[in-house]
Amino acid sequence: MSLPRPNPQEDKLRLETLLHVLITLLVVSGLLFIARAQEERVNLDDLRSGELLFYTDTPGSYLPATRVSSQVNMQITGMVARVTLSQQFQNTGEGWTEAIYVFPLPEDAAVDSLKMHIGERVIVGEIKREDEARAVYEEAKEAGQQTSLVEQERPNMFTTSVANIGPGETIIIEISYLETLRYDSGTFSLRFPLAITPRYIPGQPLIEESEKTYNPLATGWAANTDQVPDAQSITPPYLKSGVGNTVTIHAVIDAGFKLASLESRYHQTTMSEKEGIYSLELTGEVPADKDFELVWTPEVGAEPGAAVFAETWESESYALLMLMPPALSNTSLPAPAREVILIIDTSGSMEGTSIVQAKEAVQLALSRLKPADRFNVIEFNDAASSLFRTPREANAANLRLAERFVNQLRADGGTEMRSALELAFQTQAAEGYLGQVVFMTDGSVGNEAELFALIERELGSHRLFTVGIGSAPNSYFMRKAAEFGRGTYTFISDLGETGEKMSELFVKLEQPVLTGLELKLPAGSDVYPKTVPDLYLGEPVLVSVKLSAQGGEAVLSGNLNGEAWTRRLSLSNPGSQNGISQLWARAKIEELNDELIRGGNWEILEEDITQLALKHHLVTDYTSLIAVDKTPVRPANEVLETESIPQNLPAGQSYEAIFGEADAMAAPLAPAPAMMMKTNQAVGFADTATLAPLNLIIGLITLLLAFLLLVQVSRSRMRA
Amino acid sequence: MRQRILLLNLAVVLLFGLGFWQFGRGLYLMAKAQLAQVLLEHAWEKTLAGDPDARPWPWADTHPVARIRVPNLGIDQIVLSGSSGRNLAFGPTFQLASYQPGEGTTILSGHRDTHFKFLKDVQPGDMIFVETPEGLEYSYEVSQTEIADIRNSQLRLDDTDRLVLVTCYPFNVLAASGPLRYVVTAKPLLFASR
Repeated sequence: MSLPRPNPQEDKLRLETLLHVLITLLVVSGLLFIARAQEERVNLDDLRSGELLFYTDTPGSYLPATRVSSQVNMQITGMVARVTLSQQFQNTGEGWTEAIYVFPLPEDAAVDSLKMHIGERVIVGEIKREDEARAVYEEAKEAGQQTSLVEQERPNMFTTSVANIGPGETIIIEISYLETLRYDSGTFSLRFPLAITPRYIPGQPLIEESEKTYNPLATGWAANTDQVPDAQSITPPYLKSGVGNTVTIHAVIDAGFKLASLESRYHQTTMSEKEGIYSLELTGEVPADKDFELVWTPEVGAEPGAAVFAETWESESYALLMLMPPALSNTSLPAPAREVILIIDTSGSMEGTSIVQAKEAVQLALSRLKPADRFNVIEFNDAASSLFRTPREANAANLRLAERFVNQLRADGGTEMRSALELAFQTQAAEGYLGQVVFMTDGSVGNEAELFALIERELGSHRLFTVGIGSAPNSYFMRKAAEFGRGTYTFISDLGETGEKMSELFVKLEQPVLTGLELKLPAGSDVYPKTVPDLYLGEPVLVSVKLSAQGGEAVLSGNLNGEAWTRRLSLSNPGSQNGISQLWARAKIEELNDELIRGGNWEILEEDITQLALKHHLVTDYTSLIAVDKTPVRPANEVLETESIPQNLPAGQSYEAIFGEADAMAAPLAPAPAMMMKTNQAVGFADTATLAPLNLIIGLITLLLAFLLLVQVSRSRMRA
Repeated sequence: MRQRILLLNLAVVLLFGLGFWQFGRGLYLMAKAQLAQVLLEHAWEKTLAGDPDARPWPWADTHPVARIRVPNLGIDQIVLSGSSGRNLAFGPTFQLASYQPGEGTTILSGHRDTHFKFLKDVQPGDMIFVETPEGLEYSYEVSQTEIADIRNSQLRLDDTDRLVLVTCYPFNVLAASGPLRYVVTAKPLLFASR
């Protein structure tokens, strides 16, 4: 062999090595770039759509042309309410408008009907899969047809969209739902929310939308975040002052028994009675800025101990059962000592009357403690902190410290509820103590499901009791948090009722709980909720059942102070009532949603919910109601203006405490609200902590690559 | 060929350097953020258990003497004995010339940009707790905040029970030394409780 020939193999090797070096450097610089990018904050202003955020009543500033007023009609029969809500969209302007209106409903509402009234005509809405419904709406809207869409954002928050409202025209959207009444301690109640407390949005802003697409049309003031990926849909604009939307309410109550009392808690009303049917009317048209609550009690001796209502629908039988367990009060043993953790929300949305109510509630709870009890107080806004490092004896000195601590609390900042709950659940109650967490909050957060999952995961032997504070607390959070926390819930919406509501709660906290209840139903019954929860004093068992056959009986049994008891209820002669099948479907959907929160299979559960909702005509996260008028009315050359209808701020709340100082709002395109900025800051802190692990990972990967390259080099050197 | 190997070696060295730098930086950040606090916490546990001279790390020339908490600001820190510059780097410190809690003026100092940064948020009425090695927790209520000039004023030191927290002023200035101090005075609330 003489002349050295060019070796193609070596050439290839050289190329490969060069490629390796190049890739390695690329990877490393890429990783370094990520590390740097993590250090830079995302500017929220860049993420927002160009929509107007805030509306002022100062002259010259912008107000939407579309005005909304609502009429509410309640028909209460036995244990069920059928409520019809008519939203009147009036276009006072000269152009064509599309109105987007976010509104609250009770958290257990089974929304099943939509009717669009245009002049004399009525178009009845259909139930469709969420994305299909939206596509139909968009198509009709573009074609100039009048159309409306009702979507669920949260079980207690919905959106109505109405397109192509002509100049000077009025379109009425009639929405109807069914609801089971609350029956507790001998009192029936029905709560109708009329305002939405602005939600706090925790988490990191999302730069790219996740694979699950949320409403691309939503125009809320908050950017979508990792913890609240649909933040844009649940943060409607607010009127800075003055009153926008108004409401009238009319209720007819056919309780089935004589009433000892009937009362509207927070509104002036006029009442009348005729043959045992009560009729109630709100005095005049009022601003929609605080929840409406109706409470009534049966005459002594007429309190129902059991009830069953049934419906046959599509040749299947459905029933709603209510069964009262035996009264505990006189037979009970002395209650065990308690370790009570009182959590008080001191975020910006609590500023105003809410923080005063919450403080008074905590003080009452403190005064109720016995020397044998232990306690601690946790306050939270951007972060959570406790008065004592660990719970202490409820002696005079410690109680006085707690009183002082609570007195000096100020409401300001974000609502990082997660840290407060984690702090409360951190340690289990001391041996021999009953661990009770009492949570005083307006519940105005956007990450409800995440918090429920946390409660489910970390509750341990604690029991969680929620106290909804303010004129418009988030009822969905209050009820479900208490359910996952195996406790109970109450509302305080008026300073005058703090004492009364807290005493009712204390009675429940101090009495033993009915546990291990068993409900036997005829074979083949499909019942929701699936397991009977523990019952606190005065609470009935309330379940929805799909029966495989007519008749039979329900048997509730339990154990009280070592003695077994049973309650029987015949299913043979039920009171017949419409809508029981839908209430059953609604109860089942809630159970499936709970499974989702517990980490169930998303795809299966989502499809189950969708099928059930389509069959029973119900609005859910995955199904919407859509109504379309066939004939186009908007000429093709006319422009359609989209308007987000602003909300009234709940009564007693401070705009500045939630959204920042007044000056910041002067410009129509206001900077991000203070609440959001605070989110960002809180996130900033968390981020600095995550940088070190990232450094470690990058370091390790780089070292690994270096090692591989070293092997490569020595190999090629050996070959050379 | 030689040139290529040189290039590759250079790349290897560069990568190793880069890797160690990132790894070390990560470790350092973690250590700085966590270690001192963890060690101090550990030493305080030992102090509470009866060791009067529990050192946070073997070569430390100080030991923890108290724990200070301001619940509504989420502050919970271990206080070191003696206000030397070295101690101040790790936590707030107890002025040895001052009195023990409950016996007279207790003076604690801290850096304005780290441990005692929170003093600017303290308001009259806020509660402060100081735990002593005996496991007693003294409670105070902030009565006043003021700016003092060390050129013409001195802290009063006597046997009236009170807590004084001192840090440099103003809070957001880069220059390290100035004559101004921010002083928070708190009055005792109740007798010590457990």
